[in-house]
Amino acid sequence: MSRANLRGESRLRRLRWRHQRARKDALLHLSRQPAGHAFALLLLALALLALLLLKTGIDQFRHLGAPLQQAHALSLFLDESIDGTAAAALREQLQDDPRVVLAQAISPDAGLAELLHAEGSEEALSALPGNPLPWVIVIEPRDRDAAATLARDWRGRAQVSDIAEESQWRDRADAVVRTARAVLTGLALLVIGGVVLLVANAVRTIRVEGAEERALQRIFGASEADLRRPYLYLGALYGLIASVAAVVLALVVFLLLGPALAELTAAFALDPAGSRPDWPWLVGMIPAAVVMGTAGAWLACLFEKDVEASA
Amino acid sequence: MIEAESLSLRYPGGREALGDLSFRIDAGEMVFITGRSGAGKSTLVKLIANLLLPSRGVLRVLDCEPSRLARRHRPGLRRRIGMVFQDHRLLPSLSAADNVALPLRIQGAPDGEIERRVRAALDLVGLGQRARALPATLSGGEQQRVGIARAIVHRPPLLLADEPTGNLDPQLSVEIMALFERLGAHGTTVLIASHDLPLIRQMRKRVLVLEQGRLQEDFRPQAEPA
Repeated sequence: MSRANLRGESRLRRLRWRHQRARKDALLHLSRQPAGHAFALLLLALALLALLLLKTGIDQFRHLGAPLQQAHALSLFLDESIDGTAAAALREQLQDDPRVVLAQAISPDAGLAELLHAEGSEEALSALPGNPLPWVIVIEPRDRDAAATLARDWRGRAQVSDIAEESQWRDRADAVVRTARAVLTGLALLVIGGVVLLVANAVRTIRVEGAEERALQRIFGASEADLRRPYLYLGALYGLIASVAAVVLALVVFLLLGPALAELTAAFALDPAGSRPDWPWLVGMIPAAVVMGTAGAWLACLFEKDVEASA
Repeated sequence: MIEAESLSLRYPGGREALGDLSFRIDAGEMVFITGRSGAGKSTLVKLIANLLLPSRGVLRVLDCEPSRLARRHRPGLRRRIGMVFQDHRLLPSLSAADNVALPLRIQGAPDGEIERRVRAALDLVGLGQRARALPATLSGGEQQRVGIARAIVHRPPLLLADEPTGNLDPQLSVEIMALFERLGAHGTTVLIASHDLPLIRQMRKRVLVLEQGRLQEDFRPQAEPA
């Protein structure tokens, strides 16, 4: 035999061949026990589907929370002695305040008309001898801090008999929304961790069978990267197949539940997009799952004896 | 090719497996390492194969000093060494040809190159017709020859064999040794650990004798008088 060896081949070309072979090996692993892999892949697909649905939930809570972040309106109930001219002057003064976005004066007649529109109050109001309502100035402050300082500044002034802060209940609702979003985000992170561990466990099980082969490969000069490569491709394949299955399942879910979701979103003034598939997310899920699968496979490859122990 | 200076290996438990070994093996030499069971023959082979690292002393293999090599460069040295095992260590699910192809696949050889070299290696050991056979359908001698084909398929400059004839009958052992001798004649350095003294005497090659991990003798048997 001649002494020619493989060192003449370029390193890049050899690396390309090694990757090709690793991909073939990964496919071979998948084809060996299709039923076993199918169960693991279905489990992964369901986890990824849960992730997609959690993402929709997080979006809806974000949509629900957005107006609450802004709404901290103050209502200044003016003294009975304040007439329309004085009320307009006060409104102008408030509108000029940099902390105020919008100041609106509501006359007693307009206030009464609004109350009459409210369900169940017509009878009680019609029993009153006249219009007992004062002038009211409704302020939309720039932010929560502005609302607090405005209320502090105007409380106790002679022209103002009372100040209603609408921000308190909104703060509570906002806190509920934020907590729900945090819980959903936490759940989503747990699902991502679960997906990575599922792949790690599946790859670890497959690797047990090939321990003797890897020990031999190490003796003949395979590096740890060479030995890891087919399993990384296997993890990536797991992510790819499971995410495509999850996307198909998500489309079926949206197809079946679309009308009901549309009604729900309309009833709660939620984002109507929540009742339809979010295509960028569905498509983005595929590369993300490939990364998760690769990470899981990497985890499975971390703890193996080195060549000295296997020699 | 191989150079040892005061080479020692102590296992983690404290037991000394090899102590103060010094020798030199030149390129193209065929050398036997012999000694009783537990003398340190296999340990020395593993050290030279870069599967173990010495505790003390210097070992140079193929112009490299494995203990000074970075961990990531050690596989590169192993790729230049062929290994033959007493128990063959063939992968049962792979055909003879696929077993032989293993070192070439590790080196990232293209498929055409692998096919050509595997065929040549199997022809060299006389198993060209059994390329598709699974190890379980081969005899012990055939399995050992597949193991040798696997060790030489990537044309390593150094071939190590640990008790390669341990499970073979005398006739097959002679055939295997003749094969090693042919490889040596082509410039491959061959180092064989064996306790088969009659066979070693018959080969009349250089012999390193180990006793409790120490080098007792380094000699070349003379031709027996007719």
